[in-house]
Amino acid sequence: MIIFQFMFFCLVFAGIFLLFRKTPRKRKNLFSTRKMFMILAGYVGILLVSMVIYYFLPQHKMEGVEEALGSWEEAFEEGAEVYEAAHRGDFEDIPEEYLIGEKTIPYDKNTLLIQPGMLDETMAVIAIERVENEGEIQVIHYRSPYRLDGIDISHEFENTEINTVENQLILTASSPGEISYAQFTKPVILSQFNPSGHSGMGINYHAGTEAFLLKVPENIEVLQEDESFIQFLE
Amino acid sequence: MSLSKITLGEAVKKQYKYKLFSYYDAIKSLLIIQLIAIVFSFIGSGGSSTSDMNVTISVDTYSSDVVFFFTVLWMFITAILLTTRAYRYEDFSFITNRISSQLANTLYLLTGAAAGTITTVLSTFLLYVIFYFTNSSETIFGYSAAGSPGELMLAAGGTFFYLLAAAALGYFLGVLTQINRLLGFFAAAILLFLPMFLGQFYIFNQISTFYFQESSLLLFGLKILLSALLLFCAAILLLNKREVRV
Amino acid sequence: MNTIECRNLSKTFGSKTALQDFTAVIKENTITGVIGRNGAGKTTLLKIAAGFLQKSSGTIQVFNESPFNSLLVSANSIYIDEYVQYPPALTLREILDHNQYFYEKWDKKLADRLLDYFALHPMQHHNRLSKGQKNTFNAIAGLASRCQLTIFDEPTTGMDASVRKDFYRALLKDYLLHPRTILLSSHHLDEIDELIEEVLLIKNGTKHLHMPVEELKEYAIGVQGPEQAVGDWISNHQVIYTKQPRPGVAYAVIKNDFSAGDKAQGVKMGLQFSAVSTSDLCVYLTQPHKGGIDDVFI
Repeated sequence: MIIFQFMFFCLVFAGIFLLFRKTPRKRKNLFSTRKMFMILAGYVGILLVSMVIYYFLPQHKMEGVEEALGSWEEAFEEGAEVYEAAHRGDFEDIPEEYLIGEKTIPYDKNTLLIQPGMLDETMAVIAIERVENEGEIQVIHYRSPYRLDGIDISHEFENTEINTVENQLILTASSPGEISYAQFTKPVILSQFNPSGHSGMGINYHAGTEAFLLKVPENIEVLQEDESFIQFLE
Repeated sequence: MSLSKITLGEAVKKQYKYKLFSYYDAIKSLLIIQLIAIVFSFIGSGGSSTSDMNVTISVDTYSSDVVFFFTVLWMFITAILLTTRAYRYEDFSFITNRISSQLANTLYLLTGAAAGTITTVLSTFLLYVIFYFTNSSETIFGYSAAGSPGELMLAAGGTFFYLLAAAALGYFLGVLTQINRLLGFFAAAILLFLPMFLGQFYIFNQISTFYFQESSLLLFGLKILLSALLLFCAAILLLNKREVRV
Repeated sequence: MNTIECRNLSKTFGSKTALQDFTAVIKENTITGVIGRNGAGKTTLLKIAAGFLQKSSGTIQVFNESPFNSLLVSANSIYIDEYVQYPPALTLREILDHNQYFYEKWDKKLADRLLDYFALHPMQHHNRLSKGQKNTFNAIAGLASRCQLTIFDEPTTGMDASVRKDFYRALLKDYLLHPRTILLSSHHLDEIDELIEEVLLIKNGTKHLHMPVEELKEYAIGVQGPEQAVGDWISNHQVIYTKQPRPGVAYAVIKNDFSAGDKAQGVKMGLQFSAVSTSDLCVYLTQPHKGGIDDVFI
């Protein structure tokens, strides 16, 4: 449909052009046709030089191309994998590289209130496993990558902080606020002949999915404000 | 008395060469329109943003698409202009008949489409280099970049056929306008305005699907080539009885 | 061999008839002056012959082909008038180069010399020339192309008197060296009657007269004398034109087909006989009414 709108503009332009062209071919000629050809050749020359420069530009800026995922579905799969594995309680199924960290927090209170903060607005999963060793809580944190157009931009996001205050376990998700990028996209025309590829329009952003495995001693009573969010493993 | 003999082929060749070296305006406007498009590509670059709970991500996108659209526009207008009186009469200052003059026009437009394609595709590199050296935000390369050589060939093919379509359509509409001003405007209205208001109508959707959703470059090229051939033939037939220097 | 043959050629523009039942033959290697008033159909005839316009009915053959859309005719003919269009981007030099590229018999040396002689700068652009310069340049192209059929339609409009003279002289010299069929239209027959061999007089879209210019000089004779005597004498002859130079005196132009006896009788009646210049004759012949502008003011 863009094409039709574009053609409409073409016609408007052409109409205006023809209407205001009263003395069609009486203009000054600054250059002769031959000079015009030389200018055109010069322009093409500049374009060719830029092509050469393009292939000589340092490659490190282009590394992303290799790292990028091929499609939107793959980025989605990554998150889904973490989510589902965590729900099932099969944390060992989560790929090793998604492991962010393990933390052992000494804890001597009888109750534990989990404060997920902003995490309850996301796809994060918090699973609680009862363990026997007393006096400490172990937290294992997994996260699938944040991806923008298939590129891993996880480095922009700090790890969720895990702290205890009194009888509360506080999870604080990082917030980088606003991130801006620039992107050079392929010609839009490719989207017609290469439909599997990215259309070049819009952003394809996937937030990482976080999963926390909390190993909580059996003698500590877990208090929760939102039942659905926290999962107890048998 | 010895008469000079000339075949249609020779006449077309001579007319074509003559047009190539004397249509100053077409070259000039191609250059100007591409330069404007390059500037526009940076002033009014596309951008989009997305946000979730804890982050807003905005991406400014740069591409050679503006150059492409402007060049298609250039092709369309150039084709219309070739059908105007001044250009048609000029041909008859030299050796020609109506067919050779119009075949030469067709060849000229094909050359124009080729020139437009080369400059449009290559402008991607120029835009990229400017982008690389001037852009201050962090650059991401995802599914998109300047494109691999294979993709650029694909883009070049697509660009050429779009330019050819614009040329054929412009030429045909121009010829209709030369035959009868009202006829030209009506044809343009039917071709361009109606689909916008009657977009839901079956036939227009069929046309749109037939051309713009053809994902095989080969088939797309074939469709455009045949349609352009049809339009050019119709234009040549329509103008073949047309008097000049009236 | 004939270069142009027209038979019952007609051309209408909408409801207006420009040529009607026009029949004429232009022989090979002649210079023909095409004479007629404005709107008589000269330009229409020449443009049909050049293949620019299409006939409405009848036949026209140029080099034995119908000229409309004929490449043979286009390759062997050139039509020059003040409206010849060249691409505005080209310099005069480039236009001449393109002409050389197109026309097989193009004489580059002649074109260059004429350009130089008429002081046209080769780097000038055609659309920036004055009317006279434009016509001079177009005429150069017409001469140098050496086309077998060279058509000049009012070629000297806007030219200086001296340039006109030079052009006609150049035309004659080149014609003598390279004979070809030249059609030259003009209102001013007196300018070209030394140059042309044939006169084709067109009136209201039809051929009025077509004869060698030498015959035209003998075609009519002027008679002047007392009104009564002139009136009596001319009553038996074909009258082309009459006027009253002074009260009581009459002048008449009559067709020169009377006998020596008639003339002797006229002299006896006190009449004076004089030759009529071809250009005056053409004016008289193509006048729409008997009498002249003076009659409007009666």
